[in-house]
Amino acid sequence: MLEPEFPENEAQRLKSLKSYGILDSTEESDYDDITRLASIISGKKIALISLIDENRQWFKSKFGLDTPHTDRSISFCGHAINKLHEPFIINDATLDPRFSDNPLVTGNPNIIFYAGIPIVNDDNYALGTLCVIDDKPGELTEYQLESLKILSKSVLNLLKLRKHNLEMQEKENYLYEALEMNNRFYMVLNNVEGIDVFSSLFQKVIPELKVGRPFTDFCKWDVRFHFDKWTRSGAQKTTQLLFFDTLNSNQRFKFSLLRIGDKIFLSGAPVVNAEFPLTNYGLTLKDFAHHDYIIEYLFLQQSTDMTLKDSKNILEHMAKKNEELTHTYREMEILARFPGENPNPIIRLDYDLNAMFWNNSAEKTFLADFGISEKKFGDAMLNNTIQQLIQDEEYVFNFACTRNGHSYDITIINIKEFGYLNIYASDTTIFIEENRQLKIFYENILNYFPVDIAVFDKDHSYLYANRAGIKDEELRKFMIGKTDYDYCDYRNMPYDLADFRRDKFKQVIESKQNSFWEDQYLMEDGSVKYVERRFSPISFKEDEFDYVVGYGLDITKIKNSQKAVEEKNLLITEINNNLEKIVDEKTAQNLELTKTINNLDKMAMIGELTANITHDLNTPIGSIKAASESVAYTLKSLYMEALGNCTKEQLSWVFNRDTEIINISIGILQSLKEKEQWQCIFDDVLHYQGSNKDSIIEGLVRCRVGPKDIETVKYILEQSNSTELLELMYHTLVIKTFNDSILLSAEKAAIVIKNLRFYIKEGKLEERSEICLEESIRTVLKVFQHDLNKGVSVHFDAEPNLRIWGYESKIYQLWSNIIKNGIDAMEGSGNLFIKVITENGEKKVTISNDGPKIPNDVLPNIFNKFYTTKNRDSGTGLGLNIVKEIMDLLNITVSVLSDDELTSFTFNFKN
Amino acid sequence: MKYAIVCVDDEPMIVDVLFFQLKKLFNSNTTVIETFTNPIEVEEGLEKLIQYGIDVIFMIVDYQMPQLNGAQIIRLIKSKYPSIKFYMLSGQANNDIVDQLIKEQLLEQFIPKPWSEKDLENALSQFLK
Repeated sequence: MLEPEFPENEAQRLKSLKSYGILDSTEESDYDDITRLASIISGKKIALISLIDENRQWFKSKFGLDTPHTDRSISFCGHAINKLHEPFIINDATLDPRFSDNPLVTGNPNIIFYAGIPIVNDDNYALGTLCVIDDKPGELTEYQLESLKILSKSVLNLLKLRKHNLEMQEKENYLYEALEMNNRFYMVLNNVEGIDVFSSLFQKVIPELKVGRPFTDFCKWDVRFHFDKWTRSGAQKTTQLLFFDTLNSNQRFKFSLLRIGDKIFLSGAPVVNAEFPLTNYGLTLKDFAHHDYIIEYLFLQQSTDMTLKDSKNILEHMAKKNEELTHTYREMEILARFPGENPNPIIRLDYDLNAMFWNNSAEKTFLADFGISEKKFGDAMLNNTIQQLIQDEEYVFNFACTRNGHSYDITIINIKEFGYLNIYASDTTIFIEENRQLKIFYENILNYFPVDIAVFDKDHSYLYANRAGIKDEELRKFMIGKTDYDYCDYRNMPYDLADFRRDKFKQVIESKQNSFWEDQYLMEDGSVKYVERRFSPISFKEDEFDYVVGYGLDITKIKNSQKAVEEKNLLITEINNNLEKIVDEKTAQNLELTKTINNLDKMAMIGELTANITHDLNTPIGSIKAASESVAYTLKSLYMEALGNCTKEQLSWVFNRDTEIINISIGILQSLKEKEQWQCIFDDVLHYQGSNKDSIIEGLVRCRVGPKDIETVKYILEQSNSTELLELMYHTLVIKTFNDSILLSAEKAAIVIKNLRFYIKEGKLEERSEICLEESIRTVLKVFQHDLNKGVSVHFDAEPNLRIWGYESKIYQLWSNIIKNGIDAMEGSGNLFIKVITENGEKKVTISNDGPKIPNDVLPNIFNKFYTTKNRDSGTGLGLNIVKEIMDLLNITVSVLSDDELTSFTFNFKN
Repeated sequence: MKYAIVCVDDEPMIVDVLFFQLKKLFNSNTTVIETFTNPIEVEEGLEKLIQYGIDVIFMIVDYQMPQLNGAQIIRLIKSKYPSIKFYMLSGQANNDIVDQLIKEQLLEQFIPKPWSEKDLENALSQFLK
């Protein structure tokens, strides 16, 4: 019989085998399923999973066999594992010299056929075999062999899984132990179902905590919300610190969650106040997710329900445990405290400056940059800083430094009670580079900004100046940290400028208000440059002051254009004023014109009307005149007939009397007066004592016979029928008077109509005719008799029978206008002088009035259309213009003289 | 010669016509007619009539006259002789003024020009019975 040889790497193989923790483990159905399947597939009686221990082969699963293990020295499998990747097959053991005398062949279980497939793990160690055995010779088909190989791999997978679970379990156990030993607040939750484990420290603070109860029973709704959200998200660990408000105590916890398998690890620390005790140590809450020691420390310091002695005991206990459990502690830290993915370098040093721990991030560059290795702390500067910190018993020191092109922001926390220091660094290289580029970016912007910009600290020293502010590059660099006084020195200038700005600066700082002013610079070419300047105080917090931003804007162009605009404005204002004046004048004229046009429109209508009216009236007036003339003629005939024969004198006494002057409707008073006069004449002059004296006197008075007609009266008295004669005379006179009235009225109407004809449109002029100047004027005077009677004395001096050739109605119009104007000018009372003469063969008519003088400025305008000196209601301004038009038409010239005594219009009629 | 009618118009022709029209209507034995063409003389004339023991029954006045217009005469005379009744005869009286006078019972009636004998007779009907 040949004993199996040991593989070359037997020791390592054994160690690897043992790491699975499977030897002597209980039966497991997963493995038994495999052996049963192997037996069925191969058609052999026995199938085993045999693991080769140091001196034995132990069967994890045995199908068709009772023995739990056999000696390695007689095992078939001991041979099989020496060829890693080949199946070991014995078709008939009785014929094989290596096994023919093997007690397993000769005795129970009578192995005749054997086929073993080595179980080889990833490290190339053959742990054992999956083998099939039979008590008679046989062989395996290729299919069967292949199936067994697959099953062998399944065994290996089961082993792997087992090993993994073991490792997990081990870690978990370590963790619990470590947490417990370190008096940590921790809790392990079986997912959301309930609490599996919680540390005694937790129970001390929250006595109602109970295993098996859901975690959420003990916390407030907001924690529940965050917790549920996190568990649903499937995340491995919390990315931010959560707060855990317990239901029944006022204690608040910060905690982070970590998922391992189906368990959730909750690691937390109580806080007295959510923020302030922590920030006292120069750390932000963010840092504490990974640095629970600090929190723990704070808790110990501040927790009110722990006595100082308790704290001390806990600390001592912890220190002791820490020493003993360095390895566990490291693992614990990796898992629960300082996860490897923390991007910031973290290092813990003891007071001898030995590195106790660092994280993955620290390994990247930080350790090398600061010369830190396992037992060496190299950087002198950091070294000194830390020594100082320990010596001063300070808690926190924060500083920034650069090594090998890497910039770090470093916080050192001295945890005195633990006797070590934590170094928290953050690599700010990228930020610094970004800052540098940002600075360049903004400097470029500011330098190309066409405005002077400068920033001053509170001592008025330059922190910054842009290119527009100081053009010279070197001077600009020089000025940083300097003041305007330095600038004046540099430029050899007097201190006026610096003094002025210093005052402004003080003012700005005191008032905290912006300050504006305007600088003027006389340039070399004699022009003036204007710069608007401003100081603005900048502060980030109330009642604090950070710096002052100053700017200067060249406003020369604006100023100059402003001036130009102002000048233009003045000019425009002046023009505007003139324009306004002109507009006012024009508006007034326009109003006047509008009024006139309205009047003209009316006139045009009147013209239309009068054209019809005059036509319609002319005929009846003509009839009236003719009828009246017939009446006069008939009356005269009748009167002559009645008298029998009468003298011309008697006739003219009745017919040639001016009825205008005689008032036949004599009133009672006048009649009494005149009767008295006649009584005297009859008594004293005529000595007439006839019985009919009274009736004769009555008749005389009625017939308007005055004492100057005494000769006519004598003749009447001689007649026998004198009373009847007077009666006849009276009636004749009455008829004659009324007939004259009719005739005169008709004539007046005719003249009015003739006057109206002027308004009739052009082209409807009458025929030219010969006109007697005197008659035409007298006719017009008759028309105005009524106005004249009110107080105008007419002095008419006319050369008789002067005739002209013209339009009769126009001539009437001419006189009407001049005479009416004269009457109006005299305001109803005065003297009107009319002269009609021939001079140098030219006929002249002068019409004068002694009304007020026509002012000199008015005189040239009087013949203009629409010009009037009368008040607006009484004149259209057309009058004298009409005169002018008529004169032009009739070839008449006029001269006007006006002085204080007389206003005279003299018309020259040319032939 | 107990009663008088007074006519005032600055136009003599109107006075003449009125004179003859009134003569026809009233008995000349009991009623005389006095005429004025100058309104300034009216007040003095009325005093004289009263001196002669003549009662003025009514007056017919024009509106548009120089110096004193019809309305002014009416107010002047009415203030002195409230019993005299007035008629106004005019072609151009202001309606408002006439309305006002009638409202104040200073004016009996307004007779527009031109007028006929019949118009006058109608207007004066209260005196003709």
